[in-house]
Amino acid sequence: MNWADVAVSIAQVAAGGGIIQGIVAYTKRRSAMRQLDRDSDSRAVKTADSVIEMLHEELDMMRIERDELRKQVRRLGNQVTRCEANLAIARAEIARLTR
Amino acid sequence: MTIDPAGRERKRKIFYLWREHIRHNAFGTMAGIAAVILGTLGTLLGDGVSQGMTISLRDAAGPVAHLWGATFAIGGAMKLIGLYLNRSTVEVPGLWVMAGGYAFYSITVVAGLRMHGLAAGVISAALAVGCMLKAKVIMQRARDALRRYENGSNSGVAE
Repeated sequence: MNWADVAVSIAQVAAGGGIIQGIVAYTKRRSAMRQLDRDSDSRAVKTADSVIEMLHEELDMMRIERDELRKQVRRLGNQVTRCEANLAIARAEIARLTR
Repeated sequence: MTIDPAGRERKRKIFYLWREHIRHNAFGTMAGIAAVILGTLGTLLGDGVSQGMTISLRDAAGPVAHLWGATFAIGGAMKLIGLYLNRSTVEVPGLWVMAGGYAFYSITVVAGLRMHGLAAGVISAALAVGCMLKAKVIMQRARDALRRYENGSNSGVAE
């Protein structure tokens, strides 16, 4: 039996030990872990709630901003129409005067 | 499974925090994903996934590598599920299984390839130690949580 065989046996023990440790952790410390999960669950839900609330607020703000911008666009559109009309009148006037 | 809208909503909210989990557990997440990928490959390909295993395990390489791959992938999946659903009862066993899988790979690859396997061996040994440390840290936190809960319920103070 050379050192490679020894190493392989150690590896097998390590892999098996991992599985056994996992089972031991689950069976012996389940109640402690459940308590931790309950704690972090409530904390996580609280955090998620606050994040969702924040996003809602942001969405509302964005909506207000969007409405404002739409109004502005409409106002500017009207202004452009008026300017175009004025320009057309001015051109007609120029044409009439230079004839 | 019973249909529980409130529980499902809570789970959805907790999963919604996946970005937080990635930020706080970047290495853990990647170690879990690596375990799932490597384990799945090991399950499918057997010892073809690692030359070091083929050499060091010799005749038993095929079945042992399949077995290792399956447990490793399950460990990684348990770690990820436990982390992202906030279930340390799933995460801690997953971490232990992962630690075993990484340790097994680390030792067999160095035993098989000697110096040529050192890089892979050292990396996976570090990951194995990391998994064990993380499991210890979670258990410590769990014990603290239980102690806090018991103290709180004894003195009648609800958190």
